Amino acid sequence: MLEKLKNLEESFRQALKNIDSEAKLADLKARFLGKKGELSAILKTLSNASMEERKKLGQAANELKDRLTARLEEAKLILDRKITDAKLAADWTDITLRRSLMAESVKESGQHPLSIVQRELEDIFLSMGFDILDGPHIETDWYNFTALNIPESHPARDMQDTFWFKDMKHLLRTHTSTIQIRGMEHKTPPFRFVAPGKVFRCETTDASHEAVFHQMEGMLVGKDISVAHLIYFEKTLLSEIFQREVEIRLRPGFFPFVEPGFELDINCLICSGKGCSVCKQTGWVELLPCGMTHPNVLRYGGIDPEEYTGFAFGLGLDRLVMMRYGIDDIRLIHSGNLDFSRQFASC
Amino acid sequence: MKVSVEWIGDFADLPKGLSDSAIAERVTLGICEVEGHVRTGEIFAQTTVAEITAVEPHPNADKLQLASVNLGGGKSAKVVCGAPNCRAGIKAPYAATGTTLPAGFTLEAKKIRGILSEGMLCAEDELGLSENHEGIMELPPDAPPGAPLSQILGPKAAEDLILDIDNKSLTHRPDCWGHYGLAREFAAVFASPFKDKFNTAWAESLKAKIAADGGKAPVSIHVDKDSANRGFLGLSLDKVQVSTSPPWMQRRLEAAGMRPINTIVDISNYAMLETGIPNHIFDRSTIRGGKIVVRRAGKAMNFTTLDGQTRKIIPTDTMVCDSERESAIAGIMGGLESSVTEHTTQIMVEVANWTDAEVRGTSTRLSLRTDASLRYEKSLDSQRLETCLLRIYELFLQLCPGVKAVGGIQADNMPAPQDIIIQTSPVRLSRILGEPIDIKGMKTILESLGFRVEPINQPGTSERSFTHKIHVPTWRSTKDIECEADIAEELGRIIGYDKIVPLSPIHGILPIRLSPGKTLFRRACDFMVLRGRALEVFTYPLIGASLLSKAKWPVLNEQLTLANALSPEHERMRPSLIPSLLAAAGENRKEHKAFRIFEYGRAYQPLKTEEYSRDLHQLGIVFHCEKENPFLEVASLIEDMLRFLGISAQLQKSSPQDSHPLIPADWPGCHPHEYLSVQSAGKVLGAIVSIHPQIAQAFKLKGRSTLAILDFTDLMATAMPRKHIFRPLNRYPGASFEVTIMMPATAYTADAIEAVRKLKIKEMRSAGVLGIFDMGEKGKAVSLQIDFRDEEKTLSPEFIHEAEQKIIEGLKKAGYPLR
Ligand SMILES: [Zn+2]
Repeated sequence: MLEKLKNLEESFRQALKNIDSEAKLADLKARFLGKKGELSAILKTLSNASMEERKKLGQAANELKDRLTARLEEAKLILDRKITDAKLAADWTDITLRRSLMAESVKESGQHPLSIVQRELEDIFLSMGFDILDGPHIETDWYNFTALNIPESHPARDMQDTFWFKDMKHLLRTHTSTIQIRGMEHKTPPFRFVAPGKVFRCETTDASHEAVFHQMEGMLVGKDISVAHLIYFEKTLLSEIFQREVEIRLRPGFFPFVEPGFELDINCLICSGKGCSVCKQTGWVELLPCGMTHPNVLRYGGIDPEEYTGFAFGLGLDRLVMMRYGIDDIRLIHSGNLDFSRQFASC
Repeated sequence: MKVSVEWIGDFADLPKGLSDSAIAERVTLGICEVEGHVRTGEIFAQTTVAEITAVEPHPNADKLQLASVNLGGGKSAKVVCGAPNCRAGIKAPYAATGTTLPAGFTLEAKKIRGILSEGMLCAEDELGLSENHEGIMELPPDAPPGAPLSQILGPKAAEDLILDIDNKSLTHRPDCWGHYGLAREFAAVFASPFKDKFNTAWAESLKAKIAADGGKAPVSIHVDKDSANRGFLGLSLDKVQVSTSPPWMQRRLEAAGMRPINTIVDISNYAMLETGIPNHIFDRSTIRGGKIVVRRAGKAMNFTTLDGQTRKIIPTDTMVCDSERESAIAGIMGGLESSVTEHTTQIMVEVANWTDAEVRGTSTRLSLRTDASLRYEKSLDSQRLETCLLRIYELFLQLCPGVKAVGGIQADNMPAPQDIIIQTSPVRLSRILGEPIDIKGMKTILESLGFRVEPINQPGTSERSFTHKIHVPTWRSTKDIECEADIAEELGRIIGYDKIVPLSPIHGILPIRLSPGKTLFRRACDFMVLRGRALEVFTYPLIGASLLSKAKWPVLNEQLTLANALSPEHERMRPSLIPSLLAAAGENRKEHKAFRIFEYGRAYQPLKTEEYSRDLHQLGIVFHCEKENPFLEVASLIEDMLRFLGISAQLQKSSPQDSHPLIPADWPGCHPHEYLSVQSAGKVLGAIVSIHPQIAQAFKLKGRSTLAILDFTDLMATAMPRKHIFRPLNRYPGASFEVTIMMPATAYTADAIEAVRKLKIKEMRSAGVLGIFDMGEKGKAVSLQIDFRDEEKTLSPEFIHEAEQKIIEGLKKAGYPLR
């Protein structure tokens, strides 16, 4: 009897190997485990055996039944998988045919490098509690000159620097310093803000000169703000911008809207101050003009200079962008050329 | 401007042992920017006198000779020389191997045509003495061999450090445009006493000498008060002899970048470079009527300046004239007729001051920038005119010993000195600098710069709080020093800003976030990059009429045209981003068949009001494809973007004839059908339009282009409301039904959806297109899906049936029967 069960299991195993469809699987199940199947046939002969033997053989037969059922379910799963995979194979997708493989000539998308750098700076300033302000490009004499302590006869007003409109009363702002006045008009001290944007100079263009370029003006006003604060602030700011500790130095610089006024140099990041062609062997690179806001300018902005002091600075964004990416021609900034823009693509 | 440190030495001693770059750096940090520095004259200490003892021909070269030279001290050498005057018996400058010549190259031990030359005999040009290269320089016969050249050449060979100063960094310092004024700064910065040679005693002795010469003034001076004059001094001198000026003067002139000409011209220039005050010397024989008159020209005329050029003078220009005609353009340049010549013996020295803005105006108009105009533009101190005049007199006494002053100093229109007093205290100055200042430090620095410090005793306050009256010297009073902050700068720069300890400002807590406008801008750009897959470009906000005409753009912005444009291509503010973007697209089309670009920039709108103009904040987009039509992609993108920005807006069909604030009516760039207007809250926000092939062709845009323009100007100020509100999830199942209708081929599908919506079935949640099938001549079959839901209950089959019938009926009425 046991021998028969053993044989049956062996022939089941052999038969299972040839199963390749659900129908055959059903047939197999019927052949071995069905009511009229081979196992039933063996069990029918049990009636002849002794009680003791019946019990033993019955257990063996039940165990065999469980085993075969499990094998059948396993086989069904494998078969299902095969059939589904065959269907998937028929539904084939060329997974290499991604957009990057297409003959589309411009695949990249992204912002202009100036926008990238400007946004980065804005975020640094936001993190330092600076508001971000904006103002018109077409300005009056007042905001661009008079209120910035640049009187009627000052050379900065000369035709060769400023684009004037035909009415000779309006002009294109020559610096973002106009926002110093506009900002002061809308705020009560203490305050701090920056103002990024386009500025215009009547200047013949070449690889390093543009008539339209970008500045970011900054201003901080409060009680007892001093040169010591200005130095601390600029050092912190520039270390953050350049993502490394920078050394700065102030030297006298003349701008009518600040007093004292400074040219701020940073240690040359190319040669670390040892001297190279970029820094003309001095170890220092001129980076930005800054200074303590002139009392007249505070007054024009409606702030009492006896009560408050402040400082202001101007960053040249185009130069920062050119320094960062190694761009050698400033005219590319406004070229509208997508072969330029795509080099800075974000995706 | 070139500054000779050797010349500065006449007035201030620099500390010994400072390197050239240390000097340059200290000047940069304390006074003005030194752009470069060069040491000159070192060559004369390194080159020596050589006596040529014998000359033999070079064995391998016809034009070369082999000279044996005696170098003194028992030393000798053999030198290859190509100079025609190289001969035995003469003495010449010798440079040994290893010497670096002024031109920058270093002599190496090297064979010349097979013979080693031990050093070199030098021509004048090789030593930087002149342009002369005719032969080697011949030294006096009594020059001892081996002696350094500096000993033989004297002042002409003085060693010097030349600083090249950035003129811009001296814009506000009229007093620093001469060595004398700069030396005062050097003295303060290097904490060394200022040797004021031009002091009162000096002036008095020279004036006494002029007075002693006596005589009657041969020229009288008359200054019109309404001219640009700010003081005029004249001095007539007789028995002037024109010759060449001495070597020391020539060397200093050259060091400062000027060419020596002759005694008179050189004295005039030397005095200017020293005192910082320009002057003019007339040949007195050319002054008609014994009279100098300063007045405005009064009429337009041509005037020939001493450089031989004819200049156009306008009536308001101030001229220096004689009794008959104009002799000089005030403060800029003298006339050819009155200039001195080699035969001049009688002169009149003019030292005058002129209004800065007027000189600048005239010199800019004439494009004539001279050493004089450059200085007058800075607003000079009239009180210093006399120093210059006396210095010129002193130099004439030195160079032409027989010279005689005639009739004393003539003066007119000389202003009285102004005493500017600024009140401050060490405590107040410390507050500006953030660096403790004491009384002694304040006094020392200010007095070294020529300020007078006068304390006002105030009992009951600490000494550092005492108010001090700071008297500003006249040479700093013309526009430079005006307020307390200016005094703080004087202290800061002399102390050195590097000495100030950085300190963090302390500020209150202020919440800061991006402004609504800035947020809108950032989100729009991010959307264009991430969803629109477009590249941002910048184009020029200044454009030309030619671009507008090429784009057939009828708004010309005449009011916003520049008075001084650089070129016709950039002469006016653009009325819209569209022409610029078309041009950019056209340029990019040369290289690329398909692209997507956008710009978030400004256009400019002229206003007739006081406001004059308005900056318009616009987003412009151009999608270009070679074959497919990008219109639907752009329109869907704009719809999505507006939703993303929180702007509720509708796109409405538009036609080129419509008036639209962003697209001029009848703009030929408009496609006749592919044109949608973007409306928001009853206002027009933008437009989406395909470019008409005619205009596309003008920009060589071969293919299909769609542009979109959105104007965010009015939305910049307001924050977009938060638009999401939670609703409980659906409790009752919805139902939907599909219907297929027939529509004419060119009917807008949206009209069918609109017909369904118009039925206003309250339970209808949405209606959308499932598919469109081309039915040939019969038009198109459009399958719609309509979804229903009731928040309160499950919809009954009767309701759904009724709604279906209503919709089918409604569509039929609208002209779209069931298929
Ligand atoms: Zn460097």
